[in-house]
Amino acid sequence: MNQKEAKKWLIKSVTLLFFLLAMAAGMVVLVDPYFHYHKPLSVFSYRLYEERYINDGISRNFDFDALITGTSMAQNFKPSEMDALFGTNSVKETFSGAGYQELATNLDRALSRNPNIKQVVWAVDYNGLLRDYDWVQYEDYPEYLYDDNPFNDVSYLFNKSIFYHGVLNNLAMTLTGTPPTTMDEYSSWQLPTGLDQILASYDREHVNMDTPTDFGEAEYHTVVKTITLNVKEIADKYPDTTFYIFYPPYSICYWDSLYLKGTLLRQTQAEQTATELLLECPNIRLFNFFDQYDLICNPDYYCDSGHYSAEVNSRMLHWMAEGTGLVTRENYLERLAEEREFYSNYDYESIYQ
Amino acid sequence: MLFNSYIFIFLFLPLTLLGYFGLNHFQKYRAALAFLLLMSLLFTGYANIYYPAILMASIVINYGIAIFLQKEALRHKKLLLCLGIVLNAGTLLFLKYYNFFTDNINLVFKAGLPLLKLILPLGISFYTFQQISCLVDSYKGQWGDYSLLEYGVYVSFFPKLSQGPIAYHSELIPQLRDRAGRRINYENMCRGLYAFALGLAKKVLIADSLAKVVNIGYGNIPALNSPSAGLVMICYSLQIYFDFSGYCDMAYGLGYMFNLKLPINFNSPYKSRSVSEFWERWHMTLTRFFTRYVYIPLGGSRCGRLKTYRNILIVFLVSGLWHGANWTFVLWGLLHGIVKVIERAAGSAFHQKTTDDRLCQPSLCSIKIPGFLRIGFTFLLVTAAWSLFRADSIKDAGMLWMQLFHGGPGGIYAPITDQFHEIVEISFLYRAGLGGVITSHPWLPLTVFTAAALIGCFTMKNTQEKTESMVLSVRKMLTVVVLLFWSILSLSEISAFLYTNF
Repeated sequence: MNQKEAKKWLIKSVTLLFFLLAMAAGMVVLVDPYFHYHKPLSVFSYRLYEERYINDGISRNFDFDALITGTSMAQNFKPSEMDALFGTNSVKETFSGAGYQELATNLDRALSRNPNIKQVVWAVDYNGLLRDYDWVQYEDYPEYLYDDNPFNDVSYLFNKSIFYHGVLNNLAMTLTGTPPTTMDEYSSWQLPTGLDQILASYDREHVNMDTPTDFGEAEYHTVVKTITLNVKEIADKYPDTTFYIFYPPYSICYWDSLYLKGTLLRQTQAEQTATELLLECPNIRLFNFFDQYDLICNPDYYCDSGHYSAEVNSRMLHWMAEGTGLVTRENYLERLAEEREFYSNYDYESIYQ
Repeated sequence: MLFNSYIFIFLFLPLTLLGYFGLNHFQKYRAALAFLLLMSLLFTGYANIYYPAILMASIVINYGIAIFLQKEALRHKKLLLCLGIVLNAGTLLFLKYYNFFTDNINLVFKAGLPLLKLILPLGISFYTFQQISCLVDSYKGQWGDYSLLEYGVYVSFFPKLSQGPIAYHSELIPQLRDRAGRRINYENMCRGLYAFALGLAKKVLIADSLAKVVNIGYGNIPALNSPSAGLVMICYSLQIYFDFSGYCDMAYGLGYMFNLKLPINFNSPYKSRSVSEFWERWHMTLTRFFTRYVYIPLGGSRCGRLKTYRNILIVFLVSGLWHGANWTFVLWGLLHGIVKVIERAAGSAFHQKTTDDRLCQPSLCSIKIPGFLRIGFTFLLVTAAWSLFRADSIKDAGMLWMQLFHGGPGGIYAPITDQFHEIVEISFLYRAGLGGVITSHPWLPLTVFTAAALIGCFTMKNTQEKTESMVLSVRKMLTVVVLLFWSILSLSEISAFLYTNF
C-alpha cells in the first residue's frame, strides 16, 4: 500500500459513499412520503400511514380549510362527508391513543401554518378529563419532522425504514397502479362489533375497584388545567376558527364500569367543570351525545366498551351539522342532570342477559 | 456524542480531521493539539454542558499533582500520591456509587439518608483510571516531560473517551509528538475508515437489531418458555459482544485516522478456551489496568495460594462494581472471579509448577480437553453470567434462569419474533417472496441471524488483524461503502406506535 494508491482509494470510496447517500436523500426529497417538503406529487401513488409521522406534513403542505382531529374516536370520520355537510375542504389528522396536549400541540401548529382554517372537528376524550394536562402514552416522537430545524432532517433523509416503507412502497404502488390512500381511508379501521366483541376486552367481573371516587379540589384543578391549557387556549388563540368539540359517545358498558367502580358522579362532575370552561369560548360549539340512548345502549355499534363503528362517526357529523346535541349555557345543567339520572339508574345487568 | 450518530459522522469527525491536519499543515502544532482538545471537550459536552468543565478540572488538577510527584526533593510524596488517588477515586465513587450505597444503607439500617440527583460525566470511569495510572507512574519516576496540552489531549482524546481503551500516557503521548503523525497518512486513513465501517456495522446492524429482541425478552421474563429464555440469553451475549466490539473497532479506526494507534481492547473473546483467557481478550486494557494497579499491589500471586485467590476475587469484585452501581454487577464480577479461582486451582492441580504469575494466565490450557469443547463451555459460562449483567435486579436474573429450566417447551415467544420481523431487512424478505416461509416458521429469521452471528464470533478474524492486513482493492472499497451506507441509513428508524389501546 502506498500513499498515492491509498489517496485514490480513499477519494473513490468517500465519493461513492456520498453519491449513494445523495441518491437516497434525493429519492426521499422527491417522493417525500411524509410531505415534509412538498404536497403529494400527482405522478406518485401515496400510502397514508403512521399518523405521528405524516400529520405534520399534512399541516405543512396540504391545501385545506377544515380539519378533523382526535384520537381513535375520530379516526373513522370521512372528510368527504364533512365537506358535503359543511361545505369545507377538510383533512384528517388523528393520533391514536393521544393525550390532550399532543392533540393541542399539533392543532396549534396546523392552525398557525394555515390561517384560513375555518372549522375544526375535535373529539375530546371524555375518559381523559381527569388525566394530567401533559399525559402522554407515546414518547418516541420523530421530532425532526415537527421542528423547523433543517439540520436534523438527516434523520428523515437517511433512514432505511422511511426509505423502504415510504419511498419504495410508494414507488411500488405507483408502478403497480395501486390507487393512493384517500383521506377517508387514512387511519380508518373496521373491526367486528357486538356484545361478544366488547366482552372480549371488558371484564366486568374484574373491574379495577381501586380508582378514586371523589371529586375534590385536586380533581377540579386537574380538569381546569387540562382543558384550559389544551383546549381553551387554542380556541382563544384562533378566534376566527369554529371548533366543533364533542365528547365521544362510549357504549353502555363504559357507563357500567363507572357505575361498578363508583366513579360515575366523579366523572360527570369533571364533565360539568370542563363544559363550563368550554362554554366560555364563543367559537366553540360543544356537542354531547350521551343522550343518544338508542346508540349507546346498542352493543352492535361497538367493538369494545369505547370504540364505535364508522357509522357512528357518520351520524355524529350529521348531528353536528344539524345542531343535535348542542350544549349551551342554557341547557347544560338540565342535560347533565338527565345524564346522571339515566346512567345512575340504568339496569346494567340487562345488557348481559 | 455517539460515534453512531449523524452529527458525529457528517459534522464532528470531518471537521475535527480537517482542523487538526489543517493546523498541522501550517505548522501550528500547538494550535492543532489545542484544537483536538477543544473538539474532545465538545464531544463530551454534547451530552451535558457541565461535562467538559468537570473533565478539564480533573485534567488540570491531576496534571498539577503529577508535576509535583515528579520532584525528587518533595517531602511526603507518598501522601500526595494517596491524596491524588483518593481525590480521583473519591469523585468517581461519589458520583457513580453514592446513591447505590445510600440506598443499601437505608435498606439495611432504615437510615433515611437522602438520595441525590447526581450527574455522571461521560467517560469518567475511564479517565479516572487513566489519571490514577499517571499519578502512580509519576510517583515512580516513569513520567515524561509532558505539557499540560499534551496531557489534556491524551486524557480527553475523543475516540477513547467514552468507552476506552484505557491507554497509558507512554502509549499515546509519544505518538502525539511524532512529527510524521502530524501529516495526513492516507494509508492510515484507509485502514481507519475500514475499521470504523466494520465497527459501525457491528453496532448498528447487529447489536441494535439484537437489542430489540433482548429488550422484549427482559421486559417479559415471566412469559418466556425455556427455548425463549435460552434464546434471549444468547441474543444478549451476542448483543453485548457486537456492541462493545463495534465500539472498539470504531475507536481503533478513529485513532488510525489521526495516526494514533490505540491499544487493542477486544480480541475475539468468544474464541477463549477459559474464563481466564476470556479476560485476556475482553476489555483487555481494563484487565491490564486492574492487574497492574490493583492485583499486583495487593501482592498478586506472590503470597501463597489462598492470598492469590483472595486477590483475584477482590479484583473481580472491583471490576464488577466498576461496570455498574448495582448488586447484579457485583455478583457478575464475583461469579467471574470464582470461575477464575476454580480454573487456577484446577490448573495448579493438573500442572503444579506454574511459572506465569499474571492474573490472566490461562491455567486450564494444560488440561487435555478438545478446543471446541472448551470454547463452547467458556461461551456458555460467560453467557450465563451476562444474564446478571443485563437484568435490572438479581431477582429478574433468577427468574430468567427459572424460565430457562422450568419455562417448558414451545415456540419462541411471539412478541420477540414479531419485534424482530419489524426490522426493515426482514420486511424486505417478506416482499421478496419469503413471507410464507416466515409466517409458517416465525422463529426462522431470528434463529438464522443468531446462528450466523455466533459463527462469526467463533470463526472470524478480529478487526485489528483485518485492518493490519488490509489490501486496497475494489472489493474492499465496496465492503466499506456498502457497510457505511447501510449503517448510516440504519441510524434512524421509524418508531412504530403500536396500535394497542387505540
